Amino acid sequence: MVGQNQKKTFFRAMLYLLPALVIIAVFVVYPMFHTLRMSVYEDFNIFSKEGSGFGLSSYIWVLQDPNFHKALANTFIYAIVTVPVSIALSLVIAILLNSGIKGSKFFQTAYFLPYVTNAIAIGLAFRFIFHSEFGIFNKFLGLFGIDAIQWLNDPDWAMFTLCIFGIWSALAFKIVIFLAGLQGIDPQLYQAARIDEAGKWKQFIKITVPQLGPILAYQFVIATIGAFKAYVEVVGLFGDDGPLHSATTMVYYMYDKFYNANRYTIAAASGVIMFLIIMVFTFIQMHMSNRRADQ
Amino acid sequence: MKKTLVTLLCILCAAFAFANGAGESAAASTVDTSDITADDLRNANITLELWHAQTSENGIAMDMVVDLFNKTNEYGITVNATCQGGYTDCHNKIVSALAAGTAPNIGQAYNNNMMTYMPSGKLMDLTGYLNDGFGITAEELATVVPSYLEENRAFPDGKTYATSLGKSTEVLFYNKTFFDEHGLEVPTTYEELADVAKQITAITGRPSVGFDSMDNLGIYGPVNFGAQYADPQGNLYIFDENNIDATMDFYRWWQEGIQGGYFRTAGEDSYCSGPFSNGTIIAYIGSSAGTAYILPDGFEVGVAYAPVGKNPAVIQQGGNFCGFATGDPLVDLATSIFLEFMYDAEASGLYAANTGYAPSNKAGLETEAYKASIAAGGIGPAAKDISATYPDGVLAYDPVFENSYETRLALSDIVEAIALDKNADIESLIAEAERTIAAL
Amino acid sequence: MDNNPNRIQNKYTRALVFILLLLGSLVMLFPFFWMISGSLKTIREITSPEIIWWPEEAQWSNYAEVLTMKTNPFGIYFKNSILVAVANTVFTLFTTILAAFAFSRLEFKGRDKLFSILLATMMVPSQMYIITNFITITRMNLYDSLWAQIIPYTASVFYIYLLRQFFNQIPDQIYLAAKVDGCSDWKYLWKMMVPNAKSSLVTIGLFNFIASWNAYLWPLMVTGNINKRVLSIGLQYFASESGTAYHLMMAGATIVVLPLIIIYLLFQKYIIQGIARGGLKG
Repeated sequence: MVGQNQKKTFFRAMLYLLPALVIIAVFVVYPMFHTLRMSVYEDFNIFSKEGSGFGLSSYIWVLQDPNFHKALANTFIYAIVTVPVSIALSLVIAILLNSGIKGSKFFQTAYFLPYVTNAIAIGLAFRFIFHSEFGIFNKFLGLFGIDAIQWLNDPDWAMFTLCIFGIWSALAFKIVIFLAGLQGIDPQLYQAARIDEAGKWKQFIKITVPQLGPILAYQFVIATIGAFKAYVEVVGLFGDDGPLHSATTMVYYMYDKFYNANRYTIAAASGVIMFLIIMVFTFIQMHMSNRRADQ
Repeated sequence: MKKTLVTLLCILCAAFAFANGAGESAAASTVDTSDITADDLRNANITLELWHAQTSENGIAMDMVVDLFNKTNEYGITVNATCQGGYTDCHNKIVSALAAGTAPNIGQAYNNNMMTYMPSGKLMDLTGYLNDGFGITAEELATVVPSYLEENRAFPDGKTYATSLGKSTEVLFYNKTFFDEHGLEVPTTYEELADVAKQITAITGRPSVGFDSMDNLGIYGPVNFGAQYADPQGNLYIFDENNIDATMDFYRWWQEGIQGGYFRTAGEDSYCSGPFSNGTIIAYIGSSAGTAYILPDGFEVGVAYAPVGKNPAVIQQGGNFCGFATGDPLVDLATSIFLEFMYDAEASGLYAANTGYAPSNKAGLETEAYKASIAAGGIGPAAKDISATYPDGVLAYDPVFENSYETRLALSDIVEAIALDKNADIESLIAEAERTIAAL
Repeated sequence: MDNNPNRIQNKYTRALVFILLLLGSLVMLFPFFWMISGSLKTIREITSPEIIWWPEEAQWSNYAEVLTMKTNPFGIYFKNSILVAVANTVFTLFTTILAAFAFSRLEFKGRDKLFSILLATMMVPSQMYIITNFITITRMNLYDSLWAQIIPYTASVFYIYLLRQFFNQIPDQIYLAAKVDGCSDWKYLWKMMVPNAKSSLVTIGLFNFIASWNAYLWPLMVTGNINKRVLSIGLQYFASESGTAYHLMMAGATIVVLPLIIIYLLFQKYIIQGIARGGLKG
């Protein structure tokens, strides 16, 4: 009886999932396997879809390539810096926007606009902000007697600049998601807390964070995946991968190998390695957030 | 867990089988047009697809050339041209379409990208077509810029796979007002360039001469100092015992310019035209086609031949056109006729007149349209005319071979590293580049 | 407004928050401002390395030039962009609602595993898919159609995951109570879950619309005919290998962004209801 019931639920669930699963299977999963297949050859004819030299030589090549090591290190730095900072900032901003401040509607629009602004316009604006001689940043620092920093020219500063840009560009999306999430919190919870005379901080810890739990988990997982896949940000800011490839990332590496160097098997192997790395991270995060949810 | 794994493996195998589906034989196309007559072509009423990478005004000029072909070709061939974004987009699209079996008849691409179309077996070998009774005649071919013809057969197998319509080259842009004021001579050699740069920097107190493209400098710097770069078979000569001295001479010359504070790169400005326009730098070497962005702030701009070294070499740049075989001899012949039309005097003259490119056929210089565009005056036409009148033998191009993209990048990195770090150790930079190239 | 439980009571704190938000909004708005000011500059002003906050003389002709180009018909692009983005958003919301419900409320075997596998698919950069998907679309005979631009993006793990999280925020008791009352899953989903998740659905719809509106590479890949192309491709027209006509591109970009802002303003009240809504009406 129970078994039959289970089968029935499974069948019903599949009906709900069918439209999404079909599309994802055809346009995401199938190409993924194609990538996997390309990666296990030394050479792959993309036109006849035939590979030669079956084996792991592409993986070995990628793992020995110093440029890939640099891309890997940069990507980790980028993720470790931008994910927590952008989430914390956007959560604070969302809460402030939600606190009935005067002009909050204007502010909400203002904080959302970067999301619709043309990527090239954003790139141009930031190149002006960071320009060593004419940029606003250096002019501002100059007021305090700080020497001009070569934000975009100096390989040692490139990652720092990229992180600032990455945090900025990640904010708008997260703020809107947090705002939508805050809408789901029952206001009676806060009213009850006020009757108990709980302070703002206590309300934040005891009500906002737990209530936002699922959304917060989502933001972390998605932000981490997004940070590991950083590419548009790099090209938007530098036009390429920065002075002497100093701001190269894993996806930039993969893209360059695929579309510029046309070394398909190398690109595919680096894509699979990336996939595995992100997957491990995501599962750790999911596991942690599930455990917290269980407590 | 085990079950999941098994399921996954099954899906995987199925996907492999599926992905393996459409295999196409990779046979090189052979030419035999001897049985085909002009009437056969006319009766076939052939329509060809052309994918190009020319946007804005260049795209309009491209359409003019296609219109001219459609109106004047005696075989009733019609070409449909579509802009497919920039070169990268157009290339991506051609690769995908070749894989899907829906390639256009004609594509515009850089020659190193054409290399990657070769395994499809569809890239048309034009060697035979160029000399057949259709399209361009031997007489017309004789006035095509020789180095364009050479570039289009600088593939590993030495066959011709492409034709060109127009190209830009590097030229020297200088602040004429400043030069006149301080009685400076326009440099024609690398030596003079360094001397002038030093003099200007002594006046302005900041770097005075810019180099737009590290990619170009990475190869043609050493070449101008007498080194040989590489051959189409992928043999790299630039660091071998016969060439290393010349190559080192160039790196030291470049490093002295950086240490002396008189040379610079575009860096954060992306192109030197910006800092040149507002007077930050006084001269720069850049593309003859990029003049729309030179907007001088109260000074007169001069354009001159790019300075050269003892082995004069100035890069010609821009995409070329290639054909994709369909297997139908009539259609393929029509494709070759259009490709040869790119070398036509009228066609290349018309294109050059409406863009910043030099015509592929020297007879194009004599067309009314081209002459009128030069007579109109201005920085653009001046640069275009300079690029169109380099003496034979000065214009140079990169041979393409497997990994030529990455090799170029590794050489570009050396000059960029020297520019970024005044105290860069040249020997170790060379060693690093050699390691990178050897690993490819 | 006073019944807003999140309202900051202290007058000075409120002023401080206001100033902080104002400063922050300047930082956020700068690129947007730069786009508009750039759209009114001459090419000389926009390529100058020095900062020109606002053009000496606003070049409205940039807009006229962009809108009247015969070789780059913004009117046709506009119509196609609307069709593609609307169809895409409607289909995506449909598949997302169904899938998120299944993952959030239906206790079926292998649910978590299936969800993990779906999540994993998000981790391969989409740049790797393009050639394979191009072949698939060509085999479906959809090349050069609006459908080719719509179909591949009508399901998204990204949004399914997001909506699942929003659905998870809705207390389970309501679901269980409804089941006891004999309410079917289907009816419960559309009568209870969807209305309660309105702000999140609007958010998802909005983001999907924007993503579809701004998509560039894929629409370019699957279209050859200018009559099937969308706005984002028209924008790229101003970039060429010898440089970019930034002033025209910024004018074009401003035109492209305008509808998105209008849509945002129309739907803003659903995303942010100023807490007055009063949480869940269970």
